[in-house]
Amino acid sequence: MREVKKHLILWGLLIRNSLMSQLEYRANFYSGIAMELGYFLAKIVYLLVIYQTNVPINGLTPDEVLVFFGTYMVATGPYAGMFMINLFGISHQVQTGELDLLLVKPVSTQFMLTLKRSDLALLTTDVLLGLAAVSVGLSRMAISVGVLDVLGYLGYLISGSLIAYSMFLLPQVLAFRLVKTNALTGLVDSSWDFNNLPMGIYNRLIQQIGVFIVPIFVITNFPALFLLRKLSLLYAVWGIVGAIIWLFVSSLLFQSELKQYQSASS
Amino acid sequence: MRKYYYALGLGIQETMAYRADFWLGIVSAVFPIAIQVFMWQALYQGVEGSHLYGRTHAQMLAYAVSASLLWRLLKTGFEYEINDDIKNGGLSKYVIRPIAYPSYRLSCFLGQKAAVLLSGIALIAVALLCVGLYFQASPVSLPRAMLFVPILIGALVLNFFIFFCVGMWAFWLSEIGFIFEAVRIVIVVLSGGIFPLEIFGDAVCRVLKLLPFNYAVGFPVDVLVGTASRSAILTGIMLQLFWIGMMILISHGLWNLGKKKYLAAGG
Repeated sequence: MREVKKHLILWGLLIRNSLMSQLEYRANFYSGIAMELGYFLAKIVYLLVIYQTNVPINGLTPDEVLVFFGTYMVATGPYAGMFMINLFGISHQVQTGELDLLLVKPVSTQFMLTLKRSDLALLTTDVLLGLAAVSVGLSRMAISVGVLDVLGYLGYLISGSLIAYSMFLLPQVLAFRLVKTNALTGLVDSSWDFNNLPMGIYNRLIQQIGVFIVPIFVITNFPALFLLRKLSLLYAVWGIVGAIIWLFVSSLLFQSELKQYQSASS
Repeated sequence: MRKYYYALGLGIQETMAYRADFWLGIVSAVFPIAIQVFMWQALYQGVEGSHLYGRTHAQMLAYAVSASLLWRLLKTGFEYEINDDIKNGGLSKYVIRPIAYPSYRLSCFLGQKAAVLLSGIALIAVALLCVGLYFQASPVSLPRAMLFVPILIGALVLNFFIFFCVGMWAFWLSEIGFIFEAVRIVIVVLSGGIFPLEIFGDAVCRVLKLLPFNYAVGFPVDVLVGTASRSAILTGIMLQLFWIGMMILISHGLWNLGKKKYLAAGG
């Protein structure tokens, strides 16, 4: 427990450092916001089509799709602002031997390697845009949201983020063996867009694979399904258990693959 | 002229050296294509009539597949190299040598794309064949396919000059950060790289078709999949040539203005 507390305090300090560094180079901060707004535009055109045609997609009304889309944007905040910028840099740190410095620090190497940097411009832009979309969707459907709904939504967002962290960490641990994983990184990153629209648009087989085998759909669909009161008991349980299993397995693999690391700089 | 042929060769060599990266970039198109396949399937099943935005289901899928592959095929990246040259003084070596920097960049870019263009076109053909087999009707005719090739080359040149102008911003901006990426995403949307421009409504669509971006992706795809009429093709070719000319002039102007701002720091 003391270790967890120590790491949480350290994480807070690292986030503060990242923010201070970003504010020193403000162009990066503002251009980060511009980039996320650009991505938002590229994603919102899907909703434009759905609203214009006004056709339910496999039983989901356009307003319900908007709630899924908003949740996808909210989940993209921690993915882009916290995980992606660290995970995609692992290969570089292995190539240059910068990882050596992290190995000798008296904190978890996985923690330092995967959570050291944060980009609050990306995180806040995505979360705010996403929450705005969710709010509009809910108000158009006249769904009132209580404290329990908010807590459950937050809980599934956190468990979804844990799954996202674990899933996207797995390909990166190959860097300890292969050193260069840039191409693989780009490919894996593209799969994030699978959540751009609700999993209900895919056929049953793809849905089951995306929920239980490669749980990409759990990340953003489960919080939205909970909010819309459409989350089945099986999914409700899997959303929590799956996060614990994936976090445990990815951490185990990280530790095991780290042993393959050979310093590159010396 | 020989030096530019050499730069063309350099571009080909560079693409061949990093061909795995290029192809994995193309493979990443699978995800947005899959989303659109399922989305359009659901929408066409639910809508009354067989057309959406004036297109049949087969034409829409043919557009989605071709546009998604085409903008990846035409994708640039040299704007980051331009920024690096300007910020770190690398431009100095081009300024003092008897070589025109914009022409050098164009040669490298054309070389990079020449190395993958044929295989890229073959990939689009295979994807359209799959669409044709699924709907039991070919979305592409031979004359359209033949017309597509010169229009594609025009799109390639136009795309180069659009992003060369974007790269020139580095002369005036102290930090680029994510600006190039932000601009790229907006251009992809405005060029019809995700959906046909008709989704924006008649008025906006008419304005967007006057801008250069449509002639880099949307127009070539519309010609290929047969959704552009003969008169639209003729107008489109004229506008594509007009915008190539305009973008050459604009990039030339920006280059001349930018050179005066260049400090050769770190060179």
